[in-house]
Amino acid sequence: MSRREEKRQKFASSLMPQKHESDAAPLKKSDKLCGTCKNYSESSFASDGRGSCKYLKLGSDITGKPPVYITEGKEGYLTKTLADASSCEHYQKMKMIDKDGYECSDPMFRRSMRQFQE
Amino acid sequence: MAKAAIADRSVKEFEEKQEWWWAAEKKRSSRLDYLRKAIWKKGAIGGLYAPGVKVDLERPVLQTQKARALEFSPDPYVIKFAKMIAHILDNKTIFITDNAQLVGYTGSLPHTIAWDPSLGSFLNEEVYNDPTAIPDPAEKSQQIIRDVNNYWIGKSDLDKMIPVFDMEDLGKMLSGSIGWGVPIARGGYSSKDYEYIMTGKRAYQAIIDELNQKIDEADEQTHAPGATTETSKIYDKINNWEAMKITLEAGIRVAKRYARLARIIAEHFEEDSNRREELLRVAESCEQVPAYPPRTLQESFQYDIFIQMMSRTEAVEGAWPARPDYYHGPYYDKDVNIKKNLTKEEAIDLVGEFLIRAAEVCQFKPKFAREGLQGIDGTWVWTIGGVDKEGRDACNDLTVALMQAARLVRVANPTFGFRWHPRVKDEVMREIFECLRQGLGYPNIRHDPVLIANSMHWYGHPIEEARLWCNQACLSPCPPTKHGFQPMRMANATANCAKIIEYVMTGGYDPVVNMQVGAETGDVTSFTDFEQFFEAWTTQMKTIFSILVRAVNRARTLAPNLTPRPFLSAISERSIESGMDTLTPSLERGNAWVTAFTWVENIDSLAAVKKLVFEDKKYTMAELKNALEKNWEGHEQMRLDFVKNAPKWGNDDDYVDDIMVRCLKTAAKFSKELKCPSGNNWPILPENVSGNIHYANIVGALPNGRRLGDALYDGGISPGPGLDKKGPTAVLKSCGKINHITDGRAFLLNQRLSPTQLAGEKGYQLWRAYMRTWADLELDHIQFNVVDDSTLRAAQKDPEKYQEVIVRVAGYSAHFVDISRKTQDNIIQRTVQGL
Amino acid sequence: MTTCKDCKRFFPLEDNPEKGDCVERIVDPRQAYYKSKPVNAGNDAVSCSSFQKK
Repeated sequence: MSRREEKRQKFASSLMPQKHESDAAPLKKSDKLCGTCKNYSESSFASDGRGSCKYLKLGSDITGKPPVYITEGKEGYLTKTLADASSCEHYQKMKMIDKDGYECSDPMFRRSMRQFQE
Repeated sequence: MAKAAIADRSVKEFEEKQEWWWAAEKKRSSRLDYLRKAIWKKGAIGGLYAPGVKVDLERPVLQTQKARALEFSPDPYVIKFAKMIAHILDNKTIFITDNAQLVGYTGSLPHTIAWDPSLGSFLNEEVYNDPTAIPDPAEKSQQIIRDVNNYWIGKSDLDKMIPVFDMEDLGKMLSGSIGWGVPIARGGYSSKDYEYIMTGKRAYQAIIDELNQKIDEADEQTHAPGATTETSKIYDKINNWEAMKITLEAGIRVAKRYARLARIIAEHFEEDSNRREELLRVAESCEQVPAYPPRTLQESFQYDIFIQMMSRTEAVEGAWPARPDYYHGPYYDKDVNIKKNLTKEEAIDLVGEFLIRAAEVCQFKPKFAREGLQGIDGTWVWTIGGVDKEGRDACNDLTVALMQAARLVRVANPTFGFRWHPRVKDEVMREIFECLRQGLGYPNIRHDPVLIANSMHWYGHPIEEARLWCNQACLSPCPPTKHGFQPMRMANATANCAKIIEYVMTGGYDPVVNMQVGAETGDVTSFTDFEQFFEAWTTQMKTIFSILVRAVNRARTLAPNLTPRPFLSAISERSIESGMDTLTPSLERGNAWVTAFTWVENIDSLAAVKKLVFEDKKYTMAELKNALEKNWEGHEQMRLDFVKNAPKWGNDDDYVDDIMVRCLKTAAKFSKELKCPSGNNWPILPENVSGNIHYANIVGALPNGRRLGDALYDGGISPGPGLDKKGPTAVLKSCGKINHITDGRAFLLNQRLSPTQLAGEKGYQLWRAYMRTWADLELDHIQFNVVDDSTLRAAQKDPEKYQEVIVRVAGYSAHFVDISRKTQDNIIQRTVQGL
Repeated sequence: MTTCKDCKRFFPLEDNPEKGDCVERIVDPRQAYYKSKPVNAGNDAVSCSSFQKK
């Protein structure tokens, strides 16, 4: 595989949008979502639900059966706020301290985060 | 404040107490008071829209409906897109507010924010995720949004562009760490060919007639005997001309819809005879413009509003390039001074309403824009004053009226940039001063001779065109001329420059977004002298700028085919003539620039490293790197050393000022190596909007002593808050060491002045003396906050009572109560200079 | 069937009475205004909450 193709594969999954289920009314609540993990960093560009993991590295896949954990390497694992983290051994719940959506780049009380309401 | 309490006190009492907002409320006409209070706040606070403001779902449904219907049509994309615009305008809900004399809004209802679903799936997902702005009932709205979003996946502009960009560059940009905009032609700042469309020589119908002729002639050519390489190009021209025509015809039709509504209200609903007459004038106005040139001031403003409404139906416009006194001034003169159709008070009502119409404009924007432009929708920095193409003073009665109306309506947007030159009359300077003294935070002052020379230096604009400039966004001049105007400045070429110095320390790895973003400049602990450190800085600067510029260049090159702009082309002489979309790079001279957010952090950090690590050897680089990795935790004493005991920019200290000049000259040299698709340069422009708050949680610890999460400096070449300790003249002298013509595009400077010191004639003379120093040092820009700490603290405690207090944030003004707490505190921290 | 044509708020176009505008007065928390939306005279108005018989 060329270096270029490698990079394309690395980023493509996080950049290309995905369709909604047509009858996806309330999103499935889960106790563990990437977005509520201490290691999660939400994208600062857009509130479209993308982000990355500080602990797991690129190549990881927590949705795989079995999950794949890569902890070596530079690039963070690209994931989504609402990705199901129930299988992730490294999940650590963050303290939901800031629900004031008026502060920038803090965990904002977005629709995706509304699923996490305590 | 209770209505009774306002009624009991006089204007004079409020003015003596410098409570300008209450004075304005008493002084303005009942019409202006009504219209001012009628505005729904459209700026985001922090990142969320204000309560009650809702995303408009009507347009996305209409647009998606038409897109579906056209999917199997044989029309080329540009014509399909024009037909979508026409369908929206023909079928959208329109409204006329009570007491209004001007009409036109991009959304369907006053409290709605326009959403264009064809720009990018990421934006559509932001709508879906928004917690407060989805109309009730939420479940039904979410179903509509899901259906719309699902349709536009893969079809929206950014989705079409993603496959043609370099994926690595795009991944880095969309991480949000280094860049701020989107590289698409329908999401940015469009300057316009005002010399073609706003001088009264023509309007839509005349252009349609010309297009019809061109299409007929071209059609004949394509059927005459013969076929050459040119024949193929003619087909594209015909398609573009057809699309342009479709949009202009739709623009005339929607204006007639407003005219019809005004007549229906007058004839069937309105009981007040004065108001009926006004409505009939509104109808006449909308029947005249935009089909035919304006005849009166009301029609001139109405024409402008319709152009903006259409431009914002076609694209998301993050700015509003305008020169209102220059283009509307002749109509003001005709109505008020010559024909005397309007009294000055009636004219002020119209001018004030024009400002209000601009203030209410809103289009749904991505998170980085909402957080970076808190309190406003976009930077409507209208340019006033200056000179005409012969170099004569262009200030007129409307320049004064705009300032007077601004003080009455106290909107944060539009804000003004005043083009100062040595022949500006004292009367005009006093009006400017009065706006500043009354705490509007605008106009900012621009040095016209410097900026005209700057435009000629960087882009080769001829002097007659350079003299006509207006701001394309916050600060960057652009001639509104046939080959001078830049049809799309993508805010994507906006760099979060604090990352430059951060990446020197981390070898290009970004610890906040967890990826290698910058260049691999090696382990910083291996550097043995400052020159190596500076070389790494230069490499990081070039790397970041290049990533952003490459994307914009690519997008601009492909835009005419992938994401055309038929309406903007329809009002551009070069497109009418050539048949090419106005985004085509070969049609313009080029006016690109890299906005440099968070610039001064680099200077203070470089100075601190040079002094404390390499010269004094008080700390090793390894100690510094370790402290930064820990976000200074456990190293507070060391952190304070880097804050207090290293020289800081803005104190007329050559040690650090030389570093600023060196950094700028290094960037300026690189600016000439970067080329835009028109073949022209990419100079840098240090300024911030509220990027210093947006990036607070994105930029890590730095050698100037900041921690992750601290607000960054307020931008441009402004010193860090509280770090300028030698007074206002020292700040000016530091800034004067920069060459404002050759070292970059423009340089934002925020200064905060004391309201008490600016009182009376003495205050005016003090300010004039200060401005003379500014002018003599040939600085290109300055803007002022004139509001005291006690007012701002009171506004934080009791925001309801201080709704119209305005502050200058950075390249724009906002109502203090409409920005986040962090931004408020950052403004309060800015040093109050004593003149 | 009740159609838009039967409503007080319907104003037909002079040159094409089968089409027209639905005009309604709205008072929201900040302002009062008249809004207008293009409709067909024959549109079904049975479930329209704003319908007012002429």
